[in-house]
Amino acid sequence: MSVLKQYWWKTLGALLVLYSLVAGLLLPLKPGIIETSPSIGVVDTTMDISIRGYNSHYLSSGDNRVWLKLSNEFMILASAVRPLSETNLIATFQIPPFLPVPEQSADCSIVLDNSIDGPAVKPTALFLRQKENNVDMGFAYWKKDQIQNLHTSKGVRFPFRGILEETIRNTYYHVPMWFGMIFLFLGSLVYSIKFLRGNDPHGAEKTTALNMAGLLFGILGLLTGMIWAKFTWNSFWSMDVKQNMAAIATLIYLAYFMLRSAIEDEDKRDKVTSAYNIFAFITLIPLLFIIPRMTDSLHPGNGGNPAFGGEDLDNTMRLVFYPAVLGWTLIGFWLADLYFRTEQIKLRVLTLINDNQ
Amino acid sequence: MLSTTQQIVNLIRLYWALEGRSRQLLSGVLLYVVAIVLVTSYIFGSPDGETWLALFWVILLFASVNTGVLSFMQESGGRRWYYFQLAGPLAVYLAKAIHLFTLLVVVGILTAGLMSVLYGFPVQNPLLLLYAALLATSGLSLLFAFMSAIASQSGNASTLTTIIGFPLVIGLSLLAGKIARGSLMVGLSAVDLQWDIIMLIALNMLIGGMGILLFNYIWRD
Amino acid sequence: MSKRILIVAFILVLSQLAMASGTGEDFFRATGKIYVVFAVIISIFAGLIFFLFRLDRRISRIEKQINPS
Repeated sequence: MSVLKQYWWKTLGALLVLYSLVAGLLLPLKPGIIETSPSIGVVDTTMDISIRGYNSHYLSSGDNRVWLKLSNEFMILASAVRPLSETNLIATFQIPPFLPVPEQSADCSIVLDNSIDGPAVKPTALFLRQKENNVDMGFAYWKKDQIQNLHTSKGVRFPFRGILEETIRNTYYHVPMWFGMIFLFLGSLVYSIKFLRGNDPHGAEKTTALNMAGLLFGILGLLTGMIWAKFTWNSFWSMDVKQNMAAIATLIYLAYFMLRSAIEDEDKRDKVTSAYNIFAFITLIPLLFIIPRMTDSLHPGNGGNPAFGGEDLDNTMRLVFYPAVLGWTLIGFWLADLYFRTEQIKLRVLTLINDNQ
Repeated sequence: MLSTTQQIVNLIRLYWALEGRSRQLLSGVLLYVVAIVLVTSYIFGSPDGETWLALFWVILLFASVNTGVLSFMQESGGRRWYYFQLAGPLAVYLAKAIHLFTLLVVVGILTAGLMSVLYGFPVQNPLLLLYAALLATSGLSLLFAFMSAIASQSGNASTLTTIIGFPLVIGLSLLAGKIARGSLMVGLSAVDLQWDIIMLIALNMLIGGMGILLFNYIWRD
Repeated sequence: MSKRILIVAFILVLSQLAMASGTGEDFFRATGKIYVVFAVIISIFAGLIFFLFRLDRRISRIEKQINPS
């Protein structure tokens, strides 16, 4: 076998991971709004709202426009915009006397646009209260200014998301751990079936090697997820359904290794652990793919389907994310390959030593 | 060789005959249930609906582990060889699962009865609880018939069954628990939870199918 | 055994350094939380290194069996 044939996929994996590290860390985020204050206001006043931006150019672009947006139909334009620095800006709003809603209060988001940065949104930025309501008058006030002629942001950039900020890049490092784990466990399932059907005499050892790498990825996924959760959801463990299911998945495969160490007879051990491995993967299916879809989760795409859609993974992110998944999966198979070959050499050495004696 | 159905029937008859002689399995489990219910009643007094269900569930779960372990422990050495002569692996697995299932149904009825006497019966919709309990016990017995067979291949079967079995039953018990919680609400019927029930049936079939396919490999020595 | 204690101590010192160089949690939350990404990448790296160490130990054991001197 030529060198290229053996090493091409390992090289590919390394290059893809390298690419995901470089592109995932070096591409900047789109400009966004980190915080606005104050967050509560009443109608019929003049409000100065200070806005703190991220990666923004408020001073160098002279054409900042700021809207207070109640819904897609209702919004008002700031009467004056005063940039203090590239990342600080004060927008003055004449809040009309009535809101266009029958309720006593409404949540507004703030939309900011200029020619360098393009549009940025801070959702639920301002909570407005009114004493009495007059929907018709409110309509008249809030319908006047419409959001028009938004600029587009320039360059290849990752989306800016409220609490995530720069940690959106963890999508390329935390999530591929899970994908890699599932692919590795899938691989181990295939080899246990092959072993039990008698198609692969080394299937049981390959199963163990793949499970070893998969378990490493699973534990790393848990660990990195906990770090990420601490700084976005404010606690290491929030009993989120996916966190729990992932912990159970790692437990199942830890049990595989317990079982493997508990049986001494080699033939019996290989057969029994392969059978358990198939069973384990089958019971993993409801844990990873059915129950998370039935329960609310903090993870993106919660409730209905835990898929990646919309703003959580836009097209720019896909260009880094999918290569990262493939790259880490290949690295995982590489680790498993190394482990498997080491074990094979160990067995060969043992038989050689026994023959010599 | 006899047909598989005939083998299963023979094996189950044999199990009950053994059970009738030693009464080791059933009496052990029953003693465990009565003790647990009494102890918890002393500690907690009378629990609310959710706790009632949780208690019921935990008792059933541990009973299934214990029965599974005990039933395969009895079969060490000679007797195991005897079964091997008597019936094929499919028959042994199914007979074991059915035997476990009947034992667990007895345990479940007894637990529910004892708990209703001591704590009252908070369930609004007994039919839903019945579905959940039946589907869960069938899944548990299919799973533990397999797991205890695996564990019996090693030295200390009882610890190993718990270790390798518990992570696997979590999916099953979460699904069944969701249906069981529905039984606490007034006016909820099986139609409202049909997807969960279908999912649980599918999971049962999956576990059973896997067990039937794989038992062959772990049973042959 | 003492090696393990050394590694744990090293990690503890490292995390203390990371905490001390900023003011606790604010260090991680500053500048768009970029250091959370750093921590995630470092832990993946540590995991891979851990795997390498275990593999290394296995290979050393085999080497010892080939030439027991």
